[in-house]
Amino acid sequence: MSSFDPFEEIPAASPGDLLSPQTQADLPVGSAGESLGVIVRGSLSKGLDLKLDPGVSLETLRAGMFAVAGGEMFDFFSLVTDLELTATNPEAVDAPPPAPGSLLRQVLAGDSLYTRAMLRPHLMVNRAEPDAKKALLPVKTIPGHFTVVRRATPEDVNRVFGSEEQSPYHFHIGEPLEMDEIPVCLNLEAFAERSNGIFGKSGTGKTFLTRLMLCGLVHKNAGVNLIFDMHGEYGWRGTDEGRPGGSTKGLRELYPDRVQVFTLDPRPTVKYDREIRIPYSFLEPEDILSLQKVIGLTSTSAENSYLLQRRFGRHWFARTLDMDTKEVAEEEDAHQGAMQALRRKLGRLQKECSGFLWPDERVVEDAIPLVLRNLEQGIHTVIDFGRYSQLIHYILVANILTRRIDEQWREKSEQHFSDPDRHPRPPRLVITIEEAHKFLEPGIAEQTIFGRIARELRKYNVTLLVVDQRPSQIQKEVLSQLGTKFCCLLDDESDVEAVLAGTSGSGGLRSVLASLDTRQQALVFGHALPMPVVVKTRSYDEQFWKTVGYLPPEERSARAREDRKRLWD
Amino acid sequence: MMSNPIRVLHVGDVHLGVELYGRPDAEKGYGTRVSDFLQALDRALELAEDVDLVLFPGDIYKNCDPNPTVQREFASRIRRIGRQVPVVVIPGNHDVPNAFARASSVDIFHVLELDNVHVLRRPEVTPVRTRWGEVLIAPLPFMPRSRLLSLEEARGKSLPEVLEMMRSRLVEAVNLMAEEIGEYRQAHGERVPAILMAHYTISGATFGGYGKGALLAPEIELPLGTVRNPAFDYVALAHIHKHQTIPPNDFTGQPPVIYPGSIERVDFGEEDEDKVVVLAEVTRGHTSWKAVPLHPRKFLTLRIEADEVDPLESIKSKIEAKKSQIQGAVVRVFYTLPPGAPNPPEREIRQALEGAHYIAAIRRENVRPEARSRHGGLTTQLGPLEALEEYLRTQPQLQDLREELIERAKPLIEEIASRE
Repeated sequence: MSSFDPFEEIPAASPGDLLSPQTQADLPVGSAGESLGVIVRGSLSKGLDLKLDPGVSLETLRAGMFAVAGGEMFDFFSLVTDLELTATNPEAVDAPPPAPGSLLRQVLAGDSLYTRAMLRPHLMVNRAEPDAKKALLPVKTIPGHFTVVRRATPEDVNRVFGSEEQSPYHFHIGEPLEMDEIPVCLNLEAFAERSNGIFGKSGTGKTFLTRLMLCGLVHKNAGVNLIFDMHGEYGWRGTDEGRPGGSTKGLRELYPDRVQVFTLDPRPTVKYDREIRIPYSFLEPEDILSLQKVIGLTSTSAENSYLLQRRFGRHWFARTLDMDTKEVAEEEDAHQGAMQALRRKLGRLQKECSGFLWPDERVVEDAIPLVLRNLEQGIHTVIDFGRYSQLIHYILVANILTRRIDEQWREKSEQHFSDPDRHPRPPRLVITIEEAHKFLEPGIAEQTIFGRIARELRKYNVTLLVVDQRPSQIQKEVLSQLGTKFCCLLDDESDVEAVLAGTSGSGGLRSVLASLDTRQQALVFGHALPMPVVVKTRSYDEQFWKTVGYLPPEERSARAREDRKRLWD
Repeated sequence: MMSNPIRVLHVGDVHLGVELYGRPDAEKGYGTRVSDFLQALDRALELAEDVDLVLFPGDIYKNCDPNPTVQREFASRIRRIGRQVPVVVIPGNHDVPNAFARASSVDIFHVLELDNVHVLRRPEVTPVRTRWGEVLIAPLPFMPRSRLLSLEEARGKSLPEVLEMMRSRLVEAVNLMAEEIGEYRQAHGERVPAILMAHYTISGATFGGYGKGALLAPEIELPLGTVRNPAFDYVALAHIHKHQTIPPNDFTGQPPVIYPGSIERVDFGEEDEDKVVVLAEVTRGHTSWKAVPLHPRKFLTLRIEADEVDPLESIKSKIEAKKSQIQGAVVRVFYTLPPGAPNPPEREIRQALEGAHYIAAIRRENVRPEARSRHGGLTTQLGPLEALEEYLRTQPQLQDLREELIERAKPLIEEIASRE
């Protein structure tokens, strides 16, 4: 045994040793593989207590970093969840020794006084199993007393998270805490299989993280993206909050041949590929229901839109705008006040959306089938809202479009299930929505398309990428369906609670989450990763773009020039 | 001088050599339908008198092996026009052979180096001199998939991946040309107008009656955003037979993105389509245009619910009512009769159709033809062979022939697919 062992006879130490205690294995302080100490206490349900070796500098440890407890058969991969100063003899702390660096302090350190780290094991790795995949097991036991714990090495991280070379879907998302240049990879195929969430209070880098994941999905062909881009962050250019007035590349600029931007607000200052106009008849009562809070309708009023649709048919919206409210209310035996309120609010809706919501006869090109065709062909599509970036616009358009997609994907999937040889499965579609809680809050999620997708549409190859700062407002059932969650810093206790609900070891993760940096750090856990991990997320910069298939314009031109000779002559 | 607009005649798919629904004409050496197409072409070229540039963005012929007579007819016209104004041709999918080294049907003009006739076979910006100065042509001819497949990086790719790669390369080709146009303008003046000529489907285009052939191999679609690049002042397209702008009914958008459509009707699917060529006035930053009708051969489908008591008479009277439309038209007659009633004599129906250019079919329909064509199992998702099988499954009277029909269909389908 090479580590600190309280029962082993300690050889007489020279004064020099006392002044600078020797750390293990001749590794420099804080480096990978450095032994940290031994397990002294623990339970399967609460985690492990690590007594730190006296030579280990407490300040090199971080909540959220990796530590590996090397048991007899298994390596227990753990996260540091808490740190503590403690004393075997409480009197030692009652009378603090004088000056820092004094001999007395050093004598006390590691003896009467010592430091503890709380670990939460998340994975057991069977050392005897050669197959890396089979070797990873859920934690069903804990290592014994005095098991040595060390910092994780790059090999450890690799063993758990794989590398980009391992499969075409492994995607490097960032580095573990305190381990620069060691990639943590996420399996994008598993990621796109389920709905996922990116959470964090504003200013924590959610948008950059979302861009990162979208680039991964595009580059690795793990799914085709439909992005409801509320604030113009993903299309041609996006803002870079890190620099005042800064901007950064959007997906359309990174992948000019694979991404298209459809806009609701054609304007000369911004580049786009196509305009969207939505005819009145595309509106459904369901849309009004999901907008009820935004436009301030009671549910009774909102539900009257079903009645109006029954009465007027497909053109119910246009006809409602012109109807004689009193007469209709009487004939339908509906509450006149509620009907009036609905009529008034629909009028407001029409006014607020008049830039893109048009009477049927004015709409010459129905762009929605084009969006669908694009997606079917694997062209990623960004819906740009321009000045229509209020919730009323966002929810309405996202609902209408997504309902169409839902219909088509269901139909094609059913065809595929009944005759797989003849009907290819529709491509995996990932729909990104921001301010997701507005679509998915209790009372709305039950009735709208987004709630349905989050709950069941995985079967039809449609999943959501939910971006939000208030996860606590999202319906619990929806939240529990999310496969993989990225959590940047969250302040609100209820948000933390909501995000971690149903996650094993959530107690430990809570403190990890609370200690994240305000930028570029996230706790990532769920389906696409073997265990939770805190990552310093990759920077969204020139270097990153190159690794996800971005060809600078001059290289694209060079390739096109080359093609002239190779392809056309 | 530069402020003078360049007047452009933009001709869509010419498709010389289509013989369908025509009669042979020994005197001319080609059928009456070929004459129709030539006449349409002549009407179009009359307009060439008053323009500065003539564009043919592909599909001059029906296929890449046009017969010498048809070739002679086109060549003589091209030569004549070329004496007055510059002509630019790019190869379309019907012009390009699948085999790498074989020439396309329009290459000959390139080889002959006819003055003023430019055959542009690769996406490279080419300045063309007109009487009002230079105009830059960015050509995007059709590229057969087989050529892409010959690339190292295409090996082992699935069909969707190959299509993806194809689109990516085409988009890059267009972007590069836009870039080169920018460079050219920096060197030679910002006012030089530029025209993109392409033989592709732009996303959002509606297929007309002809070429709904989604049953064939999946088509590449180019995004509108790619071709509607502000570097271009006009986007001259061919490939789709129905005249349209992209997006639809966009008469003012810049640059205009236009399919004139084919110059003649090829099939009944185009019965209701107008046939036009486009005249455009191109200047840097602004182009106006109009469609000029060509008066193609009429196609007419008569659907008649025949009277049970005297079916012949009822059919004849319906035909009589359409007499003027039938004159010179390619006609087909579908009539329905209750089960059990005998067919009226076809010879007499033919007589009633006197004056028609060609009688394509006289057929009794048990079910209304629309209903049949909407058979649920037949979707655009099916390949042609699968579609045939699906169809045969629903036709009990053809069961005995089933195997043989499929056997015979196979080589035909392969041939068509390989041509694409």
